[in-house]
Amino acid sequence: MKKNLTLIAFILLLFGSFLLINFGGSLLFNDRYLDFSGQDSYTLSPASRRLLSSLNKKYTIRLYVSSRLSDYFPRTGQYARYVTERLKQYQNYSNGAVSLDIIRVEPYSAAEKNAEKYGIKTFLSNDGKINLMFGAVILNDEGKSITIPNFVELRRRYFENDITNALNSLENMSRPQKIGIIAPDMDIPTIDGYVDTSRSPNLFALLGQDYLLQKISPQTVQIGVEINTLIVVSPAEELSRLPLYALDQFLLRGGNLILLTDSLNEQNEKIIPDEGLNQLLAPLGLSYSDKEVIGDAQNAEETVVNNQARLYYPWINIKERALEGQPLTAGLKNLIFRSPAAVKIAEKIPEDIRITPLITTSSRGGHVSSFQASRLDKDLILQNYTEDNHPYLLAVLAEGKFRSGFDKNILEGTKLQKQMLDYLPASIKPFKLLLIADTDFAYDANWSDNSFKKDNPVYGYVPWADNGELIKRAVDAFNGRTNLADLSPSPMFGASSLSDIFREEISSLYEEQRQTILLRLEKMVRERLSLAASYAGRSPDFSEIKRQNLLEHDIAEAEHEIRHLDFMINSAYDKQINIFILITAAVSLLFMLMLIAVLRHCRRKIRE
Amino acid sequence: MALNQLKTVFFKEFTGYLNNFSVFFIWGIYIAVSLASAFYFGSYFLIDNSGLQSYFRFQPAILALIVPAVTMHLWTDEFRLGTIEFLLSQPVDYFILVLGKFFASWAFCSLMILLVLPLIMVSSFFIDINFLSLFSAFLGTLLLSGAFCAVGCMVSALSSRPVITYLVAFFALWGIISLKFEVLMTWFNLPETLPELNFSALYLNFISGRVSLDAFICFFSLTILALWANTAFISGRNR
Repeated sequence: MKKNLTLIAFILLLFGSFLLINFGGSLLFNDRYLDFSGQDSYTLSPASRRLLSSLNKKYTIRLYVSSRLSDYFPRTGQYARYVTERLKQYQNYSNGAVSLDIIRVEPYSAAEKNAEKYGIKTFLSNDGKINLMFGAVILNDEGKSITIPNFVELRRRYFENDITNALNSLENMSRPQKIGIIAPDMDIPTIDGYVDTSRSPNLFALLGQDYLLQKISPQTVQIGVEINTLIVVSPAEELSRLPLYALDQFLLRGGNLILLTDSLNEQNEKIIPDEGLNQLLAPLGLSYSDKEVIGDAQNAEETVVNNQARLYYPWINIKERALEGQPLTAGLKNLIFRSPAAVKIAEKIPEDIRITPLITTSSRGGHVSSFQASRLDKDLILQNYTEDNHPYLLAVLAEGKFRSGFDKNILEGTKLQKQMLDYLPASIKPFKLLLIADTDFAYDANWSDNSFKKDNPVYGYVPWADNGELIKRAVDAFNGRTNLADLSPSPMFGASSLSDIFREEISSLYEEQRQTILLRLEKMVRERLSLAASYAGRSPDFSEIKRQNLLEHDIAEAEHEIRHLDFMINSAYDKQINIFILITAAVSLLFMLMLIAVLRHCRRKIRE
Repeated sequence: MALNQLKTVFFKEFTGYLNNFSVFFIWGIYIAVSLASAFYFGSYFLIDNSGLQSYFRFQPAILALIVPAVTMHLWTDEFRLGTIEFLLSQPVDYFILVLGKFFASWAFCSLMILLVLPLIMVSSFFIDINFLSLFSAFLGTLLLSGAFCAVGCMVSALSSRPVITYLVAFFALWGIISLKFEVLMTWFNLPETLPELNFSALYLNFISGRVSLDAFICFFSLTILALWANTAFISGRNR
């Protein structure tokens, strides 16, 4: 009895000491760890840490995650764990300024209703039975908040940017600065003259987080003094002298200009005329040519040319290593250009102007005539492409003072002159100009995916290149918001699951067959519609009914073929999974037997 | 001297695992259960498994099932076969005996954990393996198996019946992995500012790449306390 009591007391003592050691260890060393995630999952960037240590307000991050998220969407559940860990880092680094509130949401609960009030979006479980949610609200002690309606896993690289930028916006939520936008060829919805960021292209949704974006007419003769940064995406119609005068005077007043120009705008398949803009750029020691489209054999992207995957030189993907040199581009992972022009720096630059080359092609640059590039198909463009093996400038940063390209107010002598600002013959303040020789650079389709954007305009699009990030950085730098200048997208590690890889592999085998059936189906549906339209308002005759029936039969057959193809893909996928499991099991068994044999052999040797 | 004694005990115990077919049985069950849980319950094909998270996620539960089978004979057989008196009468420190047996079982379990290599190899043909994260998961699993072996060793010193030893060790390990100390904090009304202490969560940190000092302290303290208790039980028994 005594022995048993001693044993129990001993075990309790052990348990107690285990608890004490571990509570002590956790209290003292909870924040001592190494990040072995390979994706910096547990390391906040210096920019985020700097912001967190300088926060003056108190913040609460409410993370709403459905308790059954992992059951329905294992991959999203995995991402939810990542998000939770990352947000804990924000809490740990903030010295108490940020607190994290993780709310496990049950279906139909009060927490669910509360989350919906903040704008967190629900989505259906895959059996359609319950609503799920996975979003966050960041609130400060002044009652201001920013909502992330849904975390999109594919946007993982930008997770830290999103949270840090949101905290930064809430911390500095004074009157937002105005940014002017001149981009007549882009579809930019507005409300009272200001860009409606909930429906705008991603670039403006991104900028709209921190700035008020005002759409400006391409015929304007003057840029208001309240605008200190202007983004111009050159239109296909040549700019008249009125806006050129406005831009000239804007720069002379010390304005900041982000100018995207081009030789060929692929989006609208139009050549961007260089004459007008070169008049503006000439006094700055810059120019570009609309005669040629630039390519890069080393950084070219692969695309389908004549039913074959080939490098298409005018599609340029500039990678991280080539972007390291300048603070504005350092840390960006890649930038995508589509049929860009080349920026040229004049041999004699005005002495008050400093020009910094920002982005160049590799030394394997080349060119093709923009006329041919706008008319020919990709195969012929490649045939006409000349590889002249020298680098071309794709973007530059210019700053300084210059003399106006106009000798007087363009509206001198008219009634309007009195309402205008005085004509300036020379700079009164230094200007800043980011010149990018590609208008396609700004279009969503070239750098981001909008599949997840519904109800989530800012945090829903998925960038695959950092085009937007570069422009955001430039705007921030021009507006003195430099505290987050070194915040870069996180590195990404193998994002695909085996399931994605297998499905993609199998689907590609059946893709041609599927496309053929789909084309046939589309043709038949169109024919059915035109047939129906041909006898609209009267009864169809016998031949029409016969044709109609035949079409219905063929359509049903094509649909059946598609379903059969899907079935084949699913069967092949299941087969591949089973093969994977069998191979792994067999190799594991062999490896185990081999290991045992080696160990037994070693034992025999040792005994001998 | 002590090192030589440790080596002798280690080799005696380790080669003991290879003498019979239990090695095939234990490793076979381990790899079958591990692969099955990763493939069928761990969403192996659906999630990003660059660090083989689906595989390692279930290791605490699987090791709680397997490790008692590895450790149950360590002391039990000595009691059952009556060799304990002879063993303890040798001029070897009790702690050396305990350490030798513990290291033998840990080495056996460590080799068992290496059976994941074929899965890594096959997977690497299709996905990019994150070796840094994998290293962290391996490290966590090694520490976990070490702690479990120490607890298993300790339990085997309490009984001379292997089945009872297995069951007690299994429930003890299961208790360790499922015990959440925040429950205790609620019971005893401890302030919320105290850190969370959760064995499984600390292990999961390892598999997601967070190698923290408090996790090391937790695993090592459990191992050392269990080995110390094991020595105390053996010496208590000999008195």
